[in-house]
Amino acid sequence: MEGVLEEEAPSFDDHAFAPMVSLEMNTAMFKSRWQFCDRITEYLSDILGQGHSDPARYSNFLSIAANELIELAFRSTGEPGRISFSLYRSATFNRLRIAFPCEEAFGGKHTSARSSERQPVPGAGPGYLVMKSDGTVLLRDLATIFRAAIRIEKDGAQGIEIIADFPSAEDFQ
Amino acid sequence: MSLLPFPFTAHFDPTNQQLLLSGKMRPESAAEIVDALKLVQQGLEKYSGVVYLNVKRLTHINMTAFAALSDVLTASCLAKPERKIVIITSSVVAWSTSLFETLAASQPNLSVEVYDSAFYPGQSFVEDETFIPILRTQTKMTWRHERELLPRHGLRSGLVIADICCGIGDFAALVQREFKPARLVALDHSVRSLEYARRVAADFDLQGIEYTYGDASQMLLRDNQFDFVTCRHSLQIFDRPEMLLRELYRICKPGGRVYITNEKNSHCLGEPHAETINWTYEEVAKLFAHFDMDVEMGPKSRHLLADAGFDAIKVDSFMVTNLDGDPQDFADIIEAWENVYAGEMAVRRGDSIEFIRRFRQGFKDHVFAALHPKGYAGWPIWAASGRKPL
Repeated sequence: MEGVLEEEAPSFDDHAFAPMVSLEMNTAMFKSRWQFCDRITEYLSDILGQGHSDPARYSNFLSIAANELIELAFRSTGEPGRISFSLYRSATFNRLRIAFPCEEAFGGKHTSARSSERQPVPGAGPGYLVMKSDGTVLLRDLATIFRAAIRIEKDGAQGIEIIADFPSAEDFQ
Repeated sequence: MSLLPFPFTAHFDPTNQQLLLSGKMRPESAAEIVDALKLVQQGLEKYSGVVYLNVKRLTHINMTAFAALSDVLTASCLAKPERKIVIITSSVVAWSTSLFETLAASQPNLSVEVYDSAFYPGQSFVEDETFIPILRTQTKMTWRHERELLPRHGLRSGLVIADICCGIGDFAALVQREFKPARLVALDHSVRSLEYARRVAADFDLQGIEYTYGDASQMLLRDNQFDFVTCRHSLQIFDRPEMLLRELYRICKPGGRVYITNEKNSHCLGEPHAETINWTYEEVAKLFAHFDMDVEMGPKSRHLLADAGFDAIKVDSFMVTNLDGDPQDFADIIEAWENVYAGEMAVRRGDSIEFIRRFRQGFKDHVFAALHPKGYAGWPIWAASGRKPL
């Protein structure tokens, strides 16, 4: 693990979240078509949009970040098993949780990014947004733009969880 | 599950030195969008001064596409530091400005501008809050007719409905109350109109209408999800109605219907003073045409719907008149038209005082006809709908 994101993850109040929906797929099936990323994103984003004062815009807004995390999972998982996409809601946040088998746990025990933690990466052009080997720069930029808290954690010996919390009162300012 | 390629388009408009990207760009690798990237690169290489990259209708992008696009733009900025690139985003697409600003921050000759006006050439004329009571009166008068017509065009209770270009939301509120839809989405590009619509819905305890801020020509709503899509009095004030119809078609379910209403202003009529009234409304049509709007569109509805791919087209016309309820309501509408058309639009076109005086006279005569105990005044409207084929 490297750089500014090595600190312990801030505390997330996991107990405040109620499950909304969960979708599970065989990883081989998921990996068979890139377009599944888009379809799953749009399905989940539609659900996330419900309850916002402007569902269509909020859904579109979140779909950009959600899609990136789903694509990150697509690129990261190669192990047989199942991948799950779950949505949760608390009073103030919407949560997307993606759990999948992966031997390389992004190089460390966990990674996190919060929108308030943005720090410039010297010499990094926009291409740097996409991916470093551990995905942390991607997460930090997504966290900033979407005012989200994103963390990646080990889930057992061979599993990974990507968890993203988005403010439900997003006013697009 | 049908997995279609992601629809996006890239186009270069040399007249305006503008590259336009629209739709959804979510490639697995940059190689999938190489043609679009080449177009961007060639456009940037060829032109000097300011080149615009218009992404206001780019509704989705992934970081693979964004990074590839960024690389092209950055390389071009470094190669031609004297040339400026302006990225035009839309406030409708809430992530767009923030994302493209991360790119603009890295290059001095790259900037981002948020584009918000002129989706509809006529919108600025009617966004003034003083116009709201007139819009409500108009809907009140047209609703008497449309309430009866809408079931003939397929509207019934329990449908999933979208009201596109909903304005102040009064039609959507009436539909919500009278037709009890399973879901009703109301979209408009005026923040102020939507605020008003939400306020009215709250005051009337009308729940369940999903108001959304959006560009009707590139909506954030998904394909094939509405049973019934309405778009009233808006195609005629949009400079590219076929683009709007394409979007209405896209969001409509196969087997669902799109319902549109439009006017033919030159056919507004009245007695007495038929001639002056007729002259003025013919001039209204020309005035709107000057601002790229076609308020003669009503009878063209069948043609427009057919060209957009709809079948089972139905067309009705009805005349809102001074005999529909209180004649003063009709007179109020005409006076509001006079204020906007003669008081603002003709002035903006640069018309002479003499022309404006004569132009106003037709409206005054129309009001006279509406309020005269034996007078008759009319405003014709065409209501048409088409089915999206199964």
